[in-house]
Amino acid sequence: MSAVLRVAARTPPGMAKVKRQREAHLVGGKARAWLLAILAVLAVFATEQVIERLASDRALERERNGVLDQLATLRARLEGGINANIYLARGLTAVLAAQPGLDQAGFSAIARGLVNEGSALRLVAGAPDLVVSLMYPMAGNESVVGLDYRSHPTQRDAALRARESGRTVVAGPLPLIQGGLGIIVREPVFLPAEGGVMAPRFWGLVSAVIDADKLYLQAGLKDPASGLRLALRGTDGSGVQGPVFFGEASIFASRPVTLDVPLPSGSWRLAAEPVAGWGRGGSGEGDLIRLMGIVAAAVGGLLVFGLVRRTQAVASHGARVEALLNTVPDLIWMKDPGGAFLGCNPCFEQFFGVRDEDIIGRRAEHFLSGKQAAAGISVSRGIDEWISYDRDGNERVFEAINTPVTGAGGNLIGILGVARDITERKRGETELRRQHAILDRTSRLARVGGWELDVAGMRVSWTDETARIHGLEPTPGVTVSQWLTLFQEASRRIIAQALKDAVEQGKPYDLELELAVDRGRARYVRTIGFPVAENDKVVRIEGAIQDISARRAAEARAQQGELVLDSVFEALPDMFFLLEKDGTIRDYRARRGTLYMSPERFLGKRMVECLPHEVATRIEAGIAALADGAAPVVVEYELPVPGGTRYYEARLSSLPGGAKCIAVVRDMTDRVLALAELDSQRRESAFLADVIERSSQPVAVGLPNGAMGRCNQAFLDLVGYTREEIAAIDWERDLTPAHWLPREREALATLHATGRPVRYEKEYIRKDGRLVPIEIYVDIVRGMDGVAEAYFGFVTDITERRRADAALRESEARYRQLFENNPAPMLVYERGSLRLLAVNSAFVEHYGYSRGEALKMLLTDLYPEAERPRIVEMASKLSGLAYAGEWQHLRKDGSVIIIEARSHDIDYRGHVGRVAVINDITGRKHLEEQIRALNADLESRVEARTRELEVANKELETFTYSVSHDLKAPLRGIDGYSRLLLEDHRDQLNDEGRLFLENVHRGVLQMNRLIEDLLAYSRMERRALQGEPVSLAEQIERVLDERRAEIEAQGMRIEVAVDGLVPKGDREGIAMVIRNLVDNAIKFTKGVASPCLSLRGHQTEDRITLEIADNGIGFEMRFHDRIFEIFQRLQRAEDYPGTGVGLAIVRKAMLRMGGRVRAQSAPGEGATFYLEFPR
Amino acid sequence: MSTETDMRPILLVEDNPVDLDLTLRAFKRRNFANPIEVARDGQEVLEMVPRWVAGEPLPLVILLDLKLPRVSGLEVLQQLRDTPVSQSVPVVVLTSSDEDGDVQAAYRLRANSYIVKPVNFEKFMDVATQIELYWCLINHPPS
Repeated sequence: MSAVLRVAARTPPGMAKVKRQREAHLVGGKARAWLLAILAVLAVFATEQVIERLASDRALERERNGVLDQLATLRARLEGGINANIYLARGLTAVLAAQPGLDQAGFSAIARGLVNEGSALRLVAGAPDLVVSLMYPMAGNESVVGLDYRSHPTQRDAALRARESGRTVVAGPLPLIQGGLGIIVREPVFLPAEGGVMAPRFWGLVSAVIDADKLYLQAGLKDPASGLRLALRGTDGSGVQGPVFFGEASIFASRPVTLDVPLPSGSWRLAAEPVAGWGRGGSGEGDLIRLMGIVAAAVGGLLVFGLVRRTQAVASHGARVEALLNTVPDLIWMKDPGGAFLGCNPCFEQFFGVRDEDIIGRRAEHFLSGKQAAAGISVSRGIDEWISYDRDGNERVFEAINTPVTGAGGNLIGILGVARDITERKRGETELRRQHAILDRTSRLARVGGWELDVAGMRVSWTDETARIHGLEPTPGVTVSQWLTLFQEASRRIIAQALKDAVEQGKPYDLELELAVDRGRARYVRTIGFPVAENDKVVRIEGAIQDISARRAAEARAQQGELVLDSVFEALPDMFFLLEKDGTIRDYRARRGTLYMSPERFLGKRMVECLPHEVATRIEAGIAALADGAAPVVVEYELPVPGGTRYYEARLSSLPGGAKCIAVVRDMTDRVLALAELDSQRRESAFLADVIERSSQPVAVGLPNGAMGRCNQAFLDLVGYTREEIAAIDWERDLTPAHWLPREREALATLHATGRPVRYEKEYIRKDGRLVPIEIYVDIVRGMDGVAEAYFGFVTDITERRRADAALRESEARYRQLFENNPAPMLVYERGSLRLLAVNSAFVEHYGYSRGEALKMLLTDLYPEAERPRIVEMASKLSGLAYAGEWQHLRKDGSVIIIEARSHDIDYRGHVGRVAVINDITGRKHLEEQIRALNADLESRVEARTRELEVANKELETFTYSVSHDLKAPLRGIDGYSRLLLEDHRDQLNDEGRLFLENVHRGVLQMNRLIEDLLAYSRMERRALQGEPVSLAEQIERVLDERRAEIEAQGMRIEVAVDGLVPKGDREGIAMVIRNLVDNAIKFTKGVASPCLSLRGHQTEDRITLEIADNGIGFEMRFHDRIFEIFQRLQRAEDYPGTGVGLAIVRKAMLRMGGRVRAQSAPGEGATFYLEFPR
Repeated sequence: MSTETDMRPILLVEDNPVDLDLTLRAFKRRNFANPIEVARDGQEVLEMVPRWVAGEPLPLVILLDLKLPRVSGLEVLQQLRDTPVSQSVPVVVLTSSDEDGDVQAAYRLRANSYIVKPVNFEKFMDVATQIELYWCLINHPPS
């Protein structure tokens, strides 16, 4: 509080008469001048900064800040206007909560005070249970009575929202039935809990309709003097997303300054831009007007307070008053005239920590104690400040009022006291005062003075500083007319007009003016005036004044410089940044629209905070690399932008002193892209030139004068000149044979005439004189003037093509001849249609159709009717060379022939066709039939013969089987009995008798051997021989083992050399063969000196030969064949006993095994048998 | 079974009178202890089976010729093997045939031995001796 006192002490005397009541409410009237001073100080500070930053700050930003200030003021006014009306509606709500049964007359009586000419409130209505039944004014609004919100299409949602949320809902603006636009405030009314109902009960809605136009007017939104174009959006509190309902929607689309206007539910968005567009002067009215909005809101609150007070008269006593009292956050009490408490609300009890039974019927000093008792209970009749202490001893400041309550007869029932806790508000004010004290001191330093103009007295009271600013010694004040003389003439007229407007229209002002010349020095001041009205009449103007001469001088200088700079920077494509050494961006200059991001995002920040990390670190590294006074560092970088990448080049240079540096940033995107494009084009044309040079296609340029231009290697190769030589020739004279010149000139004439490239064939004369046929494709290159500059030609050597053409023609002729003269009938038909395209002479001759007839036929016409569908199907499947099989064909005379056909795809004169070669096999088929018949006959005969053979074989088997048994049994008998005779009756036989029996015995053995050999031979015939690999060595070993006794007895030498030979045959068969030949050798080497037997094998690719050689008596080769025949013997039996079957068995076995046997011998020279086995 | 010589008879099946006579003589010359019963064809053998079933002693060994009138030797062998009582009686085929087919058929029908009769009488007597020695003294037949 001491700060407040000190403020008061320094307050000029003229301000002392401001009412105490106002002082309690808002910043005191005495302080008003100081408030303005504060603002001025703030302005000074701002100005100081402006000056300090002149080199860097920009007009636009200043302007935006100015607009923002203005807009804040407007917002405050608008908010205040709405809130005042909301408070009114809330007052009604309180009434209805206390008197839920209020009738229309009562409602009108209350509402009449709210809705009047000066108020923006047009209509208030009560809707118990959401049906409108209470209305003020009724006139003109009768139709609204009975409206049921629940079924109303447009108001239903807002109404239900108010009920559901229990909070105020602001709807609109929306067109009213009664005309104009209205903003509707809906307040839900809840009845306090009573009886058994525990929860507050919903009564209905109170609606207040605010005239939107009036609200806008009062808020100053329509004041052209603001210099702003304004717009509002967010119908129904939908904020930034909502539709625009005031002003032009386009304002939102430009770059407006915006502020949100908070509503009890949702918000609006307010946008502004200068009428003249950005970049033109203009300044706000300052926060004073925002304060006005707050004042308006506070006044509204008071009104409600008064309303509540008034309702006491309307309200009957009892529960309903109590209910109202219970809902109010203020302390409310009622005392009888004697000071005893009749009642209080729960708030009161809670604050003092006393229960109501201790309060009712007692005086305050009886139930209060300590600090509370010392403070007492407010008894002020007017609104007054009252300080008390809550139950915990905390100091609380109240705004309190005591009102007498009179009964029906005018008798005093008691005093109603209401106290509202304003502790927090007071604290704010105290703080403000404390700041004032500080500012009081600082204002002197800042050369800011305060003043107040008394309208009635036409006098100005001012602070000492104001006097000093005006160049006077400190005085309490001067008259207005004296004051005006202190201004320079032009300024005097302005301030006079401003004062007149302030007095007559209540318009505040903020002017920069020039004072009358003081000692030849121009002095400038900024002066702010704010009219204060009492009872709608401006009674005084409060204001502040500040010496801004220094600023103006500096500004004038700087502004001039800055204007030049601005235009320079605006003309430069580069951006300039003032950077700290640590990369903080302090300031910038840039042509509009060139910045990568908005200034707010980078000013005062380090680059790493606002640029991509990689870029920022590179630039900061660049800064770090800067040496004082050294050459700039260039950093190139790129930044992503929507739709691509932009390339930048930053030139960093150090400022003198080295603490800061400058970055000159140039957008290199266009250049980078253009360079890239140029590079790509250059590369492409180099590439194309390279391609042409390396191309195998000869390409050359000829100039109209006959000189050769560029040509590639392929062209040089074609004409046989070197690159040097070609430059010296005339393409018309040296390259083209004379007989081709007319053709060439004609073609070039066509090219000139039509402008279209020409293609023609001609010949070139090579350097060696040879002619080479070519095809050339020529186009023309014209200069800017349309004159032919050069021809360029793509040349194709067509020697090979010519040759191929000739070959093709020759080949075609050959093939035609082959077709035409072919002895076999031939035809060509078209695929798909099967139409005959060509037939040859043989066809005509063979089928009897003339060529003309044939070419009108289809392929199917050659076939019998029944075959045709199959032909169509088959013909569609044939491809490549195909054998079409055997078919019946019809000749013209109807006779049927059998043919076989082969066909092949052919491209026949542009038709996709097939050529078929027909072979008439009718005769062959007949012969084949005969052969088949003969073969069938032969087969049946062979079968019959085979059957006969099988029977014979069977008989033979039976025969040999019988022989083996039946011939042997008698032999055994003969031998057995002759032996018995010899043994049992030896005594009765003489020598001759015994000799006979011996002969019988020998005969039996001979007979037995013969039978055995025959059986072996026949078995070789009957046996099923196996064809398995048989080791010769094993079988030889086996046989030699069997014959070991005889071999040893004979002293025979054996040589065996058959290692690894494994012929294919039958194991028993091979053993049998070897055994017989070994026996043979043993037999025929009897009596030979040093008998010898050798068995040697060798193999060739397909056979294995075993040679079995002895050194026996041998035989004459003329008997070669006989020795292998059965029963054939070359020697006498008594010399060489045997059956004559052995070698026959050998031959039989070898034949049966797929091999053969032969022998080589000469008498006395041994014999060699060759056994040849298959492998 | 006693350790003494088993004196059950040997059954000789032989139709050829000469072979039968020579066989009996050969056995007699070797002083055969076991009695020799003779069947002259296959049918006779089969007629013995019911008697064996009735309890008459089974032969110690059957010497069976293959080429027999009425019922062939292979058929007899099959019947003997198919009949439980005679299943385990040793059967020695004694025949003139040395055909592979006969040898294989006999063994397939579970003949115990296959001996080709030698034409040479001395060898034939050796065979008889060997048969007796083996089948009547060495071999231990089922009882």
